[in-house]
This record gives sequence, structure tokens and C-alpha cells, in this order.
Amino acid sequence: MALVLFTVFLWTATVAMGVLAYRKNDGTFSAGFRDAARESLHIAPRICVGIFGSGFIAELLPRETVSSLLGSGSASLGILIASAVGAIVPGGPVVAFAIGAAALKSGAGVPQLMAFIVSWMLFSFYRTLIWELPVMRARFTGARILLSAPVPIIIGHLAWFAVR
Amino acid sequence: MKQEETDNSGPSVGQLIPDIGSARTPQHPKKRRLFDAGFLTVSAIMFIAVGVVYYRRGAQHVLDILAKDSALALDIAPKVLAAVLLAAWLRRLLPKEVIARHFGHQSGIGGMSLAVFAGVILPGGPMTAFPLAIAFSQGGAALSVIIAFLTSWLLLSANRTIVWEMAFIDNQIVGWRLLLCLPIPFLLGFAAQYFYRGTKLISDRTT
Repeated sequence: MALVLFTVFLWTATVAMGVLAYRKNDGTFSAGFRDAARESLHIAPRICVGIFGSGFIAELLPRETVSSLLGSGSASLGILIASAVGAIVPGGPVVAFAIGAAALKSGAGVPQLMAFIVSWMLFSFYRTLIWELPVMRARFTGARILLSAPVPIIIGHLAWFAVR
Repeated sequence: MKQEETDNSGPSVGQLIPDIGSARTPQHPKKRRLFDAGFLTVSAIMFIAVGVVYYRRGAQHVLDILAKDSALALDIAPKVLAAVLLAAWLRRLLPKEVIARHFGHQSGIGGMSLAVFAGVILPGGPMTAFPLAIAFSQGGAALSVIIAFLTSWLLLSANRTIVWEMAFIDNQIVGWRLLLCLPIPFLLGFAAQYFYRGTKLISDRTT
């Protein structure tokens, strides 16, 4: 139900934006449409590879090892490991979410998965190195990382209580 | 002061970001290719995994997984399409310059709320978000606002969540994650204000 509402809301927002763009009558509509087409061409193969890849990799991951290291029973240690892995996992969203999905399918717990995702979002090695450091500089980047350091562990533990 | 400069007619309107953009972009701005090394690596891993599953469990099992994941891919396709279209039009209707102009001298919880909202709706990747944070700073926004903006963009970005996260992760888990992460940008904003009061974390130099 919530998902249906969300989809309706999303498409309403998209159509509203399209109407606004069309009303401007200066090519914004078609230019945006072309941007979206190009973006879709970029995204579609990546999502497919990520979804199918995570499906097949989940089949191959050693279920016992994953669930003992990262399963719900792994508790705080699992959350800590997941946070550490999230910070160092290379690559963009496809790699990170595909790994998360595969781990979940082969027995990782929800709190551990959340710690992993949040850690990747906040500290993604690649993004920090290529984008944040050159633009924001070391002093700001360091401060932000320091402030954010406890967040994946906190979210993991909150999820532990919230999602049972 | 910055505010007035951006309000001048002519080329100075919208000059705020492009200047910063050219001065503070990574040394090697990567040109996006349809098939880059990352994509090829992931594809290769996928094909190897398919091969191993076929070898171990047989063709029927491969087909089962393909069918299940195809259903998933078809299920998310319309959402991804909507999000991509939304982001594309939003990017053209609401240029960075317009957002940046609203952030002059923002601070406190009001400024942070605005920043969190901007982080959620901002279309585009790191090439947009970080230069925008610099622009906020030069427009006089408080450190707490900048931290809140970047943290919100990192954790709550609608575009990333709809296009990528919801495609891979069970949507109920995504919902919980968003809910739990919602206060984080504010908390980190306050923490930044507390721990780094009077420290200059972002230099004014743009070179």
C-alpha cells in the first residue's frame, strides 16, 4: 500500500515537473527528455547487471560464513564489520547495493546491512578521494568524516531494536 | 555582498557556481562512458557467477534465478524511469544558481531544514553537490548548514534512493533506513557547530 502511494506520488511529481517544463515553452521539456534518455541508457545496463549479478552471487556465497559473520546473531561485532566493509568497498552504487543485496539473500541481518549501506553512503572511498577531497579540501573532509564516524554503528544498533 | 553580486544583470548571474566549478574540480574530471571499467568488471563477475551456478546446480536453477530477477527488474523499471525524468527536468528548471542564492547567511535549525530539503531533492552526483556546498559557504551559510546539506545528500538523496537503493534492497528496509537516518543531518549539523565553533574548515581561496 505504502509502495503504491509512493509510486503514485513519484509519478505525480514527475508529471508536474514535465508540465512545468512544457509550459516554459523554451525547449526545457525536450532537452530534459533527452537528458533523461541519455541517463537511462547509462543506468539501465548497470541496474540489470547489478540485479542479476547479486542474484547469482548470493547463490554462491557461503551461507554459513555470511550468517555467522554478518547475520542477525552476529550482533555488535557484525555491525562493526559491516561498517568497516562499507567504508572501503570500491566503486559506486551498483557495486555497493549489489553486494548488500547479495549479502542479505545469503543470510546477513538487516541491522548489519543498514550499517554497511550507511557507511558506504557516508565514507565511500572512491567518492571521497575523487570528489570530496579536491573540492572541499582535507580539513573539511576530515572533520566531516570524524563527525560521521559513529553514525553507521548507531544506525545499525537502532535498526536492531526497530526491525525485528 | 555575494548576494548583490549574483543579483547583478548579465553574466554575473549564475557566475557563482561555474567559477567555483572550474577552480575547484578534480584534477581528472572523468568523462562518463557507457561501458567503463567498473561496469565491465561487474559484468565479468556476473558472467562468472552465472557459469559457476550453471556448473554446480544446472540450467534449470540458472533459469529460475533469471526469471525471479527479471520480475524484480520489470517491477522497478517504471520507478527508475520516473525518477530519472524528474531529476532531468528538475535540473533544468531549478539551476544550481537559484538554489545557491537561497543559502546566503543561512544558519540555525531553519537553515538546516532548508539544507536537508535541498540535499533530498538535489538531482545529480558529487560533481553537483560538493561545488554547491562551497557556494553555500561563500554565500555565508553556517558550517552546520553545510554539514547538514552534505549529510542529507549522502544519506537521504531521493534520486539515489529511488534509482539505486530501491532497485536492490527490500523496500521496507529502505523505508526504515530513511526513517532512522532522517535526524542524522541535523545531529551532525549541531555537532559541527559545537565541536568546530570558530574554526575555519572551508578556505575562501578558490584556487
